[in-house]
Amino acid sequence: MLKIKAQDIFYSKETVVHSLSKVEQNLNFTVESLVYYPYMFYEFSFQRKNPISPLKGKVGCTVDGVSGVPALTDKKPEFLNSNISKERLVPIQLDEQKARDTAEEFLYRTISKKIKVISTPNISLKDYELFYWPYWVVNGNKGEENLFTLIVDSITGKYHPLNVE
Amino acid sequence: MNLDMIIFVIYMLGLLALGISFSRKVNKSVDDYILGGRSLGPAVTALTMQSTSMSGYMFMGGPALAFQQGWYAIWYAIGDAGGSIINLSVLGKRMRRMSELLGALSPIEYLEKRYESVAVKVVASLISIVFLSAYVFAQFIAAGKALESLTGFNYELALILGIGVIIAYTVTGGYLAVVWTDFVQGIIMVLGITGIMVMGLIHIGGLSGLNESLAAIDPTYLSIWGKDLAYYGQWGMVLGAILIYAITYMGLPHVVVRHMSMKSTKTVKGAVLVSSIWNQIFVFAPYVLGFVGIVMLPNLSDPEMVIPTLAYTFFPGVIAAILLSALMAAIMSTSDSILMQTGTILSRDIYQRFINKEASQAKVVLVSRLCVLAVGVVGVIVAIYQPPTIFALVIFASGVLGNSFIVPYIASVYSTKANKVGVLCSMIAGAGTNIIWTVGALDTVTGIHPFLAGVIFSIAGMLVGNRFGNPPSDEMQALVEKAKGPRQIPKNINKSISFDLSPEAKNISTHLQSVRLNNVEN
Repeated sequence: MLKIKAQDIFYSKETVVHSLSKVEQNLNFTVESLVYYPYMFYEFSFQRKNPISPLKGKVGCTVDGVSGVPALTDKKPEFLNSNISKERLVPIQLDEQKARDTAEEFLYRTISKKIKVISTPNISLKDYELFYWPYWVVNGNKGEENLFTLIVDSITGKYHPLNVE
Repeated sequence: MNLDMIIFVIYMLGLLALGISFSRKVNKSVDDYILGGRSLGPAVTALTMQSTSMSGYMFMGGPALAFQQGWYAIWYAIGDAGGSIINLSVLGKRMRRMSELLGALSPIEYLEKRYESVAVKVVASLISIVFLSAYVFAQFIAAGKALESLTGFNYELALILGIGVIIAYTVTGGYLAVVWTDFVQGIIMVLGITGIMVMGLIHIGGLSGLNESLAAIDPTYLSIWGKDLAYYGQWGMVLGAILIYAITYMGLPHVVVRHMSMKSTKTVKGAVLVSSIWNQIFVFAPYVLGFVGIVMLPNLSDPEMVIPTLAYTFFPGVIAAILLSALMAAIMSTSDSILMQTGTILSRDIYQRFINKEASQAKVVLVSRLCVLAVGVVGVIVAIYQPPTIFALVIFASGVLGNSFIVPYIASVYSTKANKVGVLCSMIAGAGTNIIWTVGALDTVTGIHPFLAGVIFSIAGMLVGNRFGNPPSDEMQALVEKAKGPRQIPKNINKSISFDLSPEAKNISTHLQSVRLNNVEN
C-alpha cells in the first residue's frame, strides 16, 4: 500500500454502471477496477497591471504525470489522503522539474494566445502537489462476451475507450 | 465626419464598453478570465461560433465570385456544405482512433507523433504561419473595403486605418472578443444577411424570377461551367472547386487548450449541432446574393461590394452602416484569432524551441507581437501595391494549407509505410505545386484547378518520398493497423466519447497490460 493524495470520487461505481446502461440498454456494464492516475498540480499567482482591466489572483494548472500533457484547472482541487495498492496506481514517468517547466510554459502560451496581454503578466509559483485522479475501468459486455473497455472519469463522468487487446 | 462614420465609431465604442464591462463583471478571478464563457446555453454558444466563422470571405469574396461567374460559384458552396459530412463519415473515424492511440491533441502534434519526426513539425508550422498570414491578408483587404464604404476615404487610407485598428486591437487585448459581443455581432449579421437576401428575392420574384432575370442578361450565368462557359468540360476545375472546401479545413492547424474541471460538468454538444445545421443553410446565402447583384447592380464596378451596396439599397443608411460596422468588427475578431495563432506558433514552436531555448517569457511574447506586426506591415504592402481579390487570396491560402496537409493526414491512417521523408516531400510538393500553378496561371493552360494539381503532386511526393528514409517503427505500423480495424463500440456510447481523455486512455491501457502480464508471470 502507498499513501497518496487523491481526488474524492464523485460518481460511484453504481452510478457509472447505471448511467452507461441508460445510454446503451442492450449491453451490461461491469466495473473491473479503479485506477489512480498521477497529475502534478501547480498554483501560480497572477498579476496583470493593465490600467483598463487590472487583474490579480491565482491560476491553477495540472500536468499529466505520464504524458506531460498540461491543462488549466478551474479551482484548486481538494485532496484526500488515501492508501492505495501499487498495481492500482499508474506509475509516474515525468520528472518534477520538467513538469513544472511544462506548466509554466503552457500557462504563458495560453495567456498570450487567449487573453492577449500587451505585456507579460507576472506569474510566480505558489503551490505544488502531486495527486492522483480516480478512473473507473468499465467493461461493456454482451452476454459473456467482453466487447470493449472504457475508462470513466469518476469526477466528471467523461469516458473514453481503452485500447486493451 | 459623415453619419455612417459616426455610427461606425459609436458601434465600436459600444462594443469596447460592452467588452470591458463584461470582462470586469464576469472575470472576477483569473481562471474565470482564462476559461470564461463555458456556462452559456447551446443557442448562445452556437451563434457565437457562427459569428467567429463569418469573415471577409463570406461577405465579400463569395458574393464576388457569384457576381462574376453565376451558378458556377455554387460548386464552392457545395464543397463547403458537404465538407464536414465527408470529414466525419469518411476520414473522421480512423483519424480519431489514430489520435487516440497517439495521444495527440492538435493536428500538428498528430503529424509529429505519427511520422516520428520533429522536422515534420517544423515544416508544418512554417507552412501554417505563412499561409495563415495570407488568409489574414484577405481579411485586411475586406476591412479596407468595408471602411472605404463607411467613411468615404480612399482605399489606401481606409486600408491603413483598418489594418492599424486590427493590429492595435490584437496586441492590446482584443476586448471586443468576449462571448457576449460575439453574440450581439452574430445576431446583427445573421439578421442583416437574411434580411438582404429576403428583400432581394422578393424584389426579383424569388428563385425562379432570379433565374429568369439571369437568363435574360446572359444564359451562361445559369451554367455550371461559368460565365461564357469559361470552364466548359474542365472537370479538373470543378473537382478542385468542390474539394477545396470539402477537405481543406481538415488541414487547418489549431491548438486545443485543455481544461480539467474539478467538478462534474455537462458538455454542450447541442451547440455544435445547431451551428452545423445553421451553417448548411447559411453557406449558400452569400452566393445567392451575388446572383441578386448581377440582376440589380449591373453597373457595379467592384464585385466585392455586392453585399454592402445591396445593404444600402434595401435598408435605411443607418441600418446598413450598423451592418457594415458589424462586418468590420467580425473581420477584426477573425483576424485577431488567426494573428495570435500565427504569432504563437512562430514564437513558441519555432523561436523558443529551436532558436533560443533559454528565452524568457517576456522575450517570447515580444517575438509573438513582432510577428503580428510584421504580418501587418507585409499585409499593408500586399494590399496596396498588388491587391488580389479576397476570393483569390482565401482560395489560395486555404488551397495551399489543404495541399500541404491533406495527403499526410490520409496516408497517416491508410498506409503503414508512409514515413517522414514521404510526408516532408508530400507537404512541400503539394504547397509548391499550388503556388507555382497559381502564380503561373497554369490552370488556364491545363484546365486543372491549382488545388487539384496540388493534390496530385502531393500524392506523388508521398509515393516517391516513402522509398527513401527509414520506414516507420514497428510500433507505429502496429498502431496504424489498429486504427484501421473497426472498434466494437456501440453507436450511442461512441458518440459521447471525450477525446481529451486520449492520453490517459493510452497510458492506462499500457499500465493495465503490464499489470496483467505481471499477474500471468507470477
